[in-house]
Parts: sequence; structure tokens; C-alpha cells
Amino acid sequence: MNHPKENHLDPLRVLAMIHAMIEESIYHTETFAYTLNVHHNDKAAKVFHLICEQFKAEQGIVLNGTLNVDLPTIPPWEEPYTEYIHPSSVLIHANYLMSESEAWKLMHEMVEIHKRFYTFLCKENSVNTLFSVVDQLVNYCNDCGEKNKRLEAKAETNRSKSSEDIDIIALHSNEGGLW
Amino acid sequence: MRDMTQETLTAKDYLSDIRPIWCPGCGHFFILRALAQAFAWLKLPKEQIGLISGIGCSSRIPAYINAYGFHGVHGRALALGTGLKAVRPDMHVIVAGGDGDGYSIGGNHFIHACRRNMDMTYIVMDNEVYGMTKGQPSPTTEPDWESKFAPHGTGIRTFNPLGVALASGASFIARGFAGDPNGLTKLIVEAIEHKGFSLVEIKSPCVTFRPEEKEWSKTMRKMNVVPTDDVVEAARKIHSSDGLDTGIFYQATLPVFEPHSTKGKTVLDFEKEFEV
Ligand SMILES: Cc1ncc(C[n+]2csc(CCOP(=O)(O)OP(=O)(O)O)c2C)c(N)n1
Ligand code: SF4
Repeated sequence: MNHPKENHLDPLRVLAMIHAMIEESIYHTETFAYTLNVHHNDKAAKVFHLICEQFKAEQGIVLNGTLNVDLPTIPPWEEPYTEYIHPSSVLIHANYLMSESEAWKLMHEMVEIHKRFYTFLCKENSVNTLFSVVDQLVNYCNDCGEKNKRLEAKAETNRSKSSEDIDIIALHSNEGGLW
Repeated sequence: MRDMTQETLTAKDYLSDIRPIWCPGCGHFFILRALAQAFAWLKLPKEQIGLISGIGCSSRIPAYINAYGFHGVHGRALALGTGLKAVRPDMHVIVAGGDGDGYSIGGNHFIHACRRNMDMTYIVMDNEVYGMTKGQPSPTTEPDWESKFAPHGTGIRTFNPLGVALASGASFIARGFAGDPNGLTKLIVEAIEHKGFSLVEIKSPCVTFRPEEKEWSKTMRKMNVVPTDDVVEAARKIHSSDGLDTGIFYQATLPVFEPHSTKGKTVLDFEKEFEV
């Protein structure tokens, strides 16, 4: 894969790559949410839907920061930096029976991929012109991270109280009503 | 090949309104996206694309692409694609399907499509299993893979699609991985740009019937193969590969079969030819 580093520091190219990355994440989370719904896993689908909305908001930040600017077309195989991972690559670990917390885990990994890219850019001194957009993206990801952790914890608590689990506990206990 | 006069279309424009219903995690999702990305990069006019498939989970792909498509008969996708290319040489014919469709029931068509070397691209979404019919071994399944349908494994050595393609006369032979969307998009672009029969054999995990294939995301090597136009060198590379290398193994300029009888002819002309 190409890593023409000097090109990345061209603010418009960087923004185009951010835009392309978010676009990929939106497409895949939307598509997977749909197929999870089709496979009757509404709980995991809900998590994918929620993160998809957050990616859309990230895209909104980029679009706002590039109003009236034509972003260059970047070859879809060009990667922004050497350690870059395509956000969709984590989705190979999805499955139709996945639990809500497994869905959260995958979504965290995807969000982390975004964050790693933004952090990489923050470290590069020569991207001052980009700073405000990247800064907003980092802040947004951090805010969502906190919010997502709370939602995940809530899902975890609800899960341990769910009737499904109570039935399983009952099945395995000597005093369980199902024996 | 990239037509700069065309309006800018994005991958989204090449995807239809029908959303895929493959199992979450299935490698076919990433191949669909890479295909749409490749079309967008090449700016192919939608009305110039003919996407032909056979039967299988993978073969559902034409429904998800916003272009001309045909969901054909099991194993006959290459025959249909060949027919389309013969009568519409101006079209970009892309044939897609699974390892069962292409190497098992469609194996004979595969050999002769390679031999004809018509200008078309064949995308094989190889998950080493029959996904749609619930997990029977396919020609690319390892002999010792045990399942309900083959309790002691098949005991039959695996089919080597790249080796067969090379021996049969294909002029572009590549292996990609669904878990490397960027590398895969580049391979598909190069395959479509290539003049002649291009095979892109893509390792695409079936997470439902072969969940162990998720490990490919750790073991497949990304775009590590250096292309050659030397058939002997290519044979050495193909046969010495453990199946985890990706990239173009062989690309050469070879005579392309273009049926002359179709050039500039109308349906009426054809009808006249068949008059007795
Ligand atoms: C003539 C005929 N024989 C058998 C079948 C049953 N059949 C449907 S799909 C399939 C194999 C699918 O496997 P593959 O092509 O590898 O695609 P996947 O589902 O794994 O993507 C078979 C044998 C059929 N539809 N038609
Ligand atoms: S059965 Fe296998 S090949 Fe078919 S959609 Fe599911 S994961 Fe994909």
C-alpha cells in the first residue's frame, strides 16, 4: 500500500481521507445494523445504529469545516499512514447471535480507529490549518466515548437482569422452578 | 481506462437500494463495497456494466449493485457472461460468484473462460464452503475439514484455482482478501483495466459455517506478491504459496478472443445468418 506521507500533510488531502474513512464507517455500520435487524438481533442492531449516527455527526463536522471547498478525489486504496487499519476490518468479528456487549466492543474498536487517525494528525506539527476540524473531531469522539461507556454499562446491567438470564440461572440452580 | 470526462460518482451511486442480508461478519459485504469503490474510481458508466452471477450467497451480489445485472443459474455465470461479452463487446462484463458455483458445478466453464481469454473480469468470493446450502465442503475445502456433511473430511485434495487459471490461459491472475478492502479495491480496479480474462480469487470468510476463517484477518498477507508476466515464474509463485499471499501473481498480454461475427451487426443480420 502507498503511504505518501508528504501528501497527507496537504490539508485538503487529509480532510478528504478523513471524509472517506467516515463514509466507510457510516456505510458499514448502517449495512450491518440492517442485516442484524433482518437476523432478528435488534439489540446489537441498535448499538450499530447509534454509532452510525455518531459517525454521521463526525461527518457533519468535516463538512462544516470544508464548506465551499472541493475535496480532492483520493484513490480508495491509499492509506493515510502506515499503521492505518480500515474501520470495516473489525466487522469480520460480528455475528448474528452477538450480544449487545459484543456489539459495543466492536463499535468501540471502530471508534478507536477514527480516534487513532485524528491523534496521529494532532501529533503532526505541519497540519495547523487542519487543527480546528481535527480538534473538534477528537473532542466529539471523547464525548461520545464517555456517553457510550455509560450506555454500555446500562446495557450490561439490564442484561444481567433480563428474563432470559433468569431462566438460565433457574435451569442451573437446584431450587430452580424449571426442574 | 479511467474516464475523466464522466461526472464524479461515488461508491454510494453504484450501490442499489436493496441492502445485503448476508450474515453479519460475512466477507461478501466487504467485496461488494470494494466492487462499488472500484467502479467509482474507474468512473464506469452504469449502463456499461453487466454484472452476472450464478447461485449462492455470493451470487446475490448483482441485486446490490446499481447497474445491469443477471442472477443466473448455478455454475453458469461464466457462460452467461461470455455470451454477453460476445454480443456487447463495448460493455464491462464482470462475473461474480462463489467457489462452489465457479470451481465445482461451473468448473468446466471456468477452464474454458480462461482459455478463451475474453476481456472480462471474474470475481470469486471463495469461503471454502457452500454457504447458501448450509456448509457442505467445496472444491477449495481442505481434505480434513470435518463437518456434519463430511464427518471425516472429504479426503480429497483442494482445487488450486490460480494454478488451473494459469494452465488454462487466463492473462490476469490475482488473489485478494475481503478483510483488506483497500488492497482488494486496487486489485479489482487493475483486473477491470486489464485487457483479457482477469481472475480475482478472493478469500471471503463464511463466519456462520466456517467461523474459524475469521483467523484469516491475522494470517492473510496483504498485497505481498510482486506481479510477473513470466508464466514459469508465476507457476512457481502460485504453487509455492501457502494460499495466504495476496496480489497479482500473473499479468501478461495474450491474444484476446473477440468474436468478429458480432461487430456492427444488428439482430436482423443474425437472423439472416440462421435462415435456411
Ligand atoms: C443446479 C443446482 N445444483 C445445486 C444447487 C444448490 N446450491 C445452491 S447454492 C450452492 C452452492 C453455493 O456455494 P458457493 O457458490 O460457494 O457460494 P456461497 O453460498 O458460499 O457464497 C448449491 C450447491 C442449485 N441451486 N442448483
Ligand atoms: S452463510 Fe456464510 S457465505 Fe452465506 S451469508 Fe452467511 S456467512 Fe456469508
